[in-house]
Amino acid sequence: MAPSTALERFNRALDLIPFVEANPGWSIQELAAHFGTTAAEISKDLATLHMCGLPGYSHLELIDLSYEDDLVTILNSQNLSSPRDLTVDERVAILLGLELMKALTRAEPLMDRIVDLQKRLTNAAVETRARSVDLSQAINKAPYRDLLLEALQKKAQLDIEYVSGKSNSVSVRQIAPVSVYQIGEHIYVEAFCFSSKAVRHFRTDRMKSCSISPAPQPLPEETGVSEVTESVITVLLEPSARLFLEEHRHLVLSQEVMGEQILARFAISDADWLVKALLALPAASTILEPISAIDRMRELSSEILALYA
Amino acid sequence: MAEISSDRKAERLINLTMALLAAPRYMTKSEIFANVAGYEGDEEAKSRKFERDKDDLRALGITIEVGSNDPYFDDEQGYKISRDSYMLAMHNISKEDYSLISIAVSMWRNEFFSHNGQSAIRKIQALDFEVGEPLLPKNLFADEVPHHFFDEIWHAISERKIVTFTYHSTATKKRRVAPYALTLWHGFWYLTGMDLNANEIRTFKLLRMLEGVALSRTENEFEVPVDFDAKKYLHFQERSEPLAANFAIRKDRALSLRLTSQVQEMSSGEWDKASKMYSDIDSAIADLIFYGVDIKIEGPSELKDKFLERLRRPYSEMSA
Repeated sequence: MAPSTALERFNRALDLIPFVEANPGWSIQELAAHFGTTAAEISKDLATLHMCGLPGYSHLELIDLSYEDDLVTILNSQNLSSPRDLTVDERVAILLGLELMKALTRAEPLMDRIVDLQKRLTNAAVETRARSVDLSQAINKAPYRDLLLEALQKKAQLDIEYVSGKSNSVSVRQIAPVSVYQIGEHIYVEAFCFSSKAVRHFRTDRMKSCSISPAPQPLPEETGVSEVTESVITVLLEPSARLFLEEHRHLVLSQEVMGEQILARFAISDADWLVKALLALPAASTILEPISAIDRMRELSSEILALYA
Repeated sequence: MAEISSDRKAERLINLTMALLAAPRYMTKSEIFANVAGYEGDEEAKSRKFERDKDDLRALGITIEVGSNDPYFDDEQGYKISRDSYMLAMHNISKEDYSLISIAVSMWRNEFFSHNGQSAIRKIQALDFEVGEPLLPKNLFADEVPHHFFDEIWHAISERKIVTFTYHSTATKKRRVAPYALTLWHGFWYLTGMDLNANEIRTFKLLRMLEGVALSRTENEFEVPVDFDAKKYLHFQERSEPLAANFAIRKDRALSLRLTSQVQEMSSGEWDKASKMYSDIDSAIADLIFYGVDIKIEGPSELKDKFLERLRRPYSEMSA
């Protein structure tokens, strides 16, 4: 981490004083983690503060603090004991977060509380700046969105009946949601799944039912993604397939421009999925390898076409 | 060396802030130089330092009031910081508000927002709130992958600076844009602004901006038209024409499709009837193809024709 600039140090030092006064007995390490910096930087902040004070600068006017035994205590903060006002950017960050929460809730009492809080956080400068971000369509109205928000808010777990798109089956799962996101038109929940004992991504429109779990289970220490075998499929795409590549960039190993076209390599656990997605693309695409994927594409399109023959 | 001078600067800024906060009346420059630690050198050097310090404090959101102590005399201007403007004014933050704010700031993955949100939270924690669990390490609503252009575009918008960048579209071109607004849509951030080369308002996807995003030096280079509304310029708005797809669905198959469709069960035969709303033809095809031979599109004919046309395309070099 690069050493802090004068302004970063100033900012953090001024926030440290009221924070430590309100939360005495934290160690330098803990403060460093909380303020997103290193212990060395926090020590320097404290050393800097130790040199500062009110005009006169006798021991009566200087800031007095101690960090013996690594525990930080403010003995005399002079006139810096109140936290500083929130900046415009800080207010905007909160406001826009609240705006996303509004999109996730239908519960009126919660909605009212959010609107009220937004009003109290806003002033003219904040409003001008917040207006330059448009979140009106940031998230589609997802099914079960209230439950998702509640689960995230309270770190609750959900019981879901999930209809797999792939295996044509319904499974009952208990999941611990970690985040919600949207790609294209679908809302996804990233969650630890107790049935598969790994982090999985679920589409909200494939949940047949969803409720807060009455019996939450302890999360394992390691919640890694379980290993899946992936194959690499190389495809030549038209430039208009760029959106497809962007939406699935987590599957794209590499891509390069080849004349008018784009050569992309996908790392994929479910080759069938990619074959179908490519068949549906408005822009024509060509699978270069492996042969098995080319065969699958041929087989699948003739099977479907036979239905219409 | 650089580090030492930056530490001394931090010290001087803290001393200046404390002095101006404590001042019962406006402090003139000479009073400041005589009393606040850190101002050395000749008058000109001190003045230059002070002007820069003032700008820095203001940029950090601290309001410095300028005035004279006796309005009847043409006194020298002085400076002070009022406690009211300095202090966090939201005394009435309830426990509930605090919990809402904590969730709100963890909605963002974007570095700019999460950085500012977390510093806000730390200020509020210095009021009377117990610091419960550590701030969530993971963001709840994951918007686009973090990348540095968001920060720069955001600053350009806030400070009304012209932004130049290389944009990857049908051709890779350099663009100069007066940035007006950011929009989050379908998981991607878009910038809408006046394209100064094309002289019209256009929309750019942040993900398609390549290295070399730069901001003009001076602020307030342009005005956003009063009637500007980002929604009007987003091309994806016009394109989509919703359509109801009608299809047959094989009994006991395509369960996940059944979940989101209107299904009419047939008492005999292999198939049920179903329909589903899509935002446009392309998303209908992209969704329906996944059910392979378990569905059969019946209409509208435009959808069916396009669907079959795509399946009939050559699909490998060998068949091309």
